[in-house]
Amino acid sequence: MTLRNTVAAELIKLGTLPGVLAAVCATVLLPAGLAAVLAAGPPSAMASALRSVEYAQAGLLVLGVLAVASEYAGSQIRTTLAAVPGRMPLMAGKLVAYLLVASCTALLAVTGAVLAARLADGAPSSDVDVAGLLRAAAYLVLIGLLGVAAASLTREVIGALGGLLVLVLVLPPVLRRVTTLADYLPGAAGARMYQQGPGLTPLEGGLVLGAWLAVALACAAVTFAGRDA
Amino acid sequence: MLNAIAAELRKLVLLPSALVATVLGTGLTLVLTATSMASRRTKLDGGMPEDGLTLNLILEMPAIGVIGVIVLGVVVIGSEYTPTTKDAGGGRQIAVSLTATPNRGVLLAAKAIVLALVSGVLASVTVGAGILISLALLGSHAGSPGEVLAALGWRPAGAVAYWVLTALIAFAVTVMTRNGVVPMVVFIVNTSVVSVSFLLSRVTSLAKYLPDVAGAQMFARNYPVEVRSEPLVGGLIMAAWAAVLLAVAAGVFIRRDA
Repeated sequence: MTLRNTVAAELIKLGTLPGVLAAVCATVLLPAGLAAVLAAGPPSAMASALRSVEYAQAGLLVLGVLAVASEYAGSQIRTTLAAVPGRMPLMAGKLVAYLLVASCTALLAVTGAVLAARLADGAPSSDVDVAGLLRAAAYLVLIGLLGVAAASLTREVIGALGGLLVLVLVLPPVLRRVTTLADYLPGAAGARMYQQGPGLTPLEGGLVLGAWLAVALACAAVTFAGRDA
Repeated sequence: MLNAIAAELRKLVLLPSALVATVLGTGLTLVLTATSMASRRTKLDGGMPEDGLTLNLILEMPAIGVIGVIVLGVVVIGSEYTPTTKDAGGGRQIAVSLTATPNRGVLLAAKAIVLALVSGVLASVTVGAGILISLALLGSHAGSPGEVLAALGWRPAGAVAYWVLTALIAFAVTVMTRNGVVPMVVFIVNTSVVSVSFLLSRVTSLAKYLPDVAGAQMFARNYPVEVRSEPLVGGLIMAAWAAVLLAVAAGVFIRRDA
């Protein structure tokens, strides 16, 4: 199959997985609701929207993990490999399909969050920082790639998801009290792409996250190419 | 009933994910406690005045380690519904469990009891070891062990209760969803510092009735919420949440097809 056909096949899989559909809907709707609740309080609309992005990343992690791990829930991976025997083309197709779905999801999530926050905010004159929103969406897509890589390694949902949620959401603030190295964890570094905070600049944060992704995806590619299905 | 409990205990300790979660949850908590105590000691040695927060630190890290028992609560029932591969028949363990223990109430009760026992033991070990490590690392800065224990008072017990009740709540929700993904995401995200409960507490004072906000009052001294409950009231609120969710879970489990 050509890469185009592979991507089309992977997109059909993603579009018809109930879990993926639920994850996409939750990722778009829940942050919007949360942003509205927050904006009704003291924070500005933009701050509320960016705050809710911190929760949207859990949705993108689920999306990335499910995109790969669902192949291993049954014996679907063998059917897939019979159709696309080249492992690297298959992985490329999966990545492209994930990027397409995740980009739409992330853009919808940040747009929805900012719209909901502006509706709920008493002062609708507040500025919307479009570049900041785009960077937040880019971060969401990238962090989900970590889910793709982790699920390729573990081949199941619970372990990959639990480990990543702890690594991305729970550990950074806890470790930060002990060492500033915590700023280099993927979630903490990536958050600097769209939110000011201690530690790295937006560019450095993006580069650190990129390095994490490069290593994780390389490990995923090597194991996927070498391991029995 | 005793046989059912023994069976469930054996199942739980043989689950690889349960083992990984408990080892990581406890290990990570103790490592974090040790490192934060060590850096605290360096600061105190360097002449930083005691600001009264040192004792709080002892019980702060177990609030993160609770993730271990959350995973435990999720997989103890979630694993029953995970189908094996098609090559192995695609069966689910719940069918076998119900054949062996047809009374659904007994099966669910056995699972809840085992979960409470295991998470209680884990919590006691983690909190106890955390206190010992803190005492050893702080040395003369902490005062005598007796003084520290007197100052901590009932808070270590509160932390253990928080772990057990959190595990039971995660368990009850997973009984309803029959799938571990949603409860895992919700409960782990809510354990992080950017917890939903914490954000809601800024918007409405009703947030003090949320299970984790109420339950945290059992051990946390500086919980960053303006409107708090008394420790005992907080514990009762959390216990009420656990009881109601378990009751709903039991109703669902008894009536629904496996």
